[in-house]
Amino acid sequence: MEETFFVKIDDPNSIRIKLLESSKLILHTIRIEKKLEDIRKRKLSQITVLKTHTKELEFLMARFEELLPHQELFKKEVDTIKKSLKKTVEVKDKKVKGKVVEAKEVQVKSKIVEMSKEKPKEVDKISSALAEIEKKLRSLQ
Amino acid sequence: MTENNVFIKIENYNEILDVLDLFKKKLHDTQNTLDEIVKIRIEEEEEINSWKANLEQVQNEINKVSKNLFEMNN
Repeated sequence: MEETFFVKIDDPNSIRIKLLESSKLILHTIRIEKKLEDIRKRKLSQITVLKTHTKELEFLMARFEELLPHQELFKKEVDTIKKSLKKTVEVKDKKVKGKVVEAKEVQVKSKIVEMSKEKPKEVDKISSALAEIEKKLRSLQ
Repeated sequence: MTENNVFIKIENYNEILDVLDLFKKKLHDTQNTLDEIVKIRIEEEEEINSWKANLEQVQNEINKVSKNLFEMNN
């Protein structure tokens, strides 16, 4: 049969107080966790509202563009697109004649294109829309 | 860039004004929502900070208890 040993605690009250305080703090922490859950729910709902607002703004902007006379802009756009196409064709010709370094650059570029294909479609759409707007701005300047 | 005069049909012009007005209102709403999100984020950060402080306090208390018991054993 095993013998039982006892250890004397000199200041049991202070230890009890410390343990009780710790329990109190843990309960506070649980309360904070619940609060955080609520905060995150509120944040998510506000983000949904923000998304809706952004969509509506996008729609309004599209309507605004529709209403503005765009015949002149359209011609300029076509011109700038033609110019950029010419430039890219020239660059491609140079690459065909060019050196190994350029070939490597093309490889890197193709890798970048492949990587960008992996991105979500929505991001692609937004980036192309941004590029279009930038083009328009450049043609206007 | 050549500067030509641009004319807009009056009915289109009125609609443009309406769209602009709506756009401004929507922009205002968006700004408000964004402000609300910022407020919530600050609130969240404060709660996380107090969470962290609480846990640190608990750790201190437990360390003290553990130290007391350990010292008694010695």
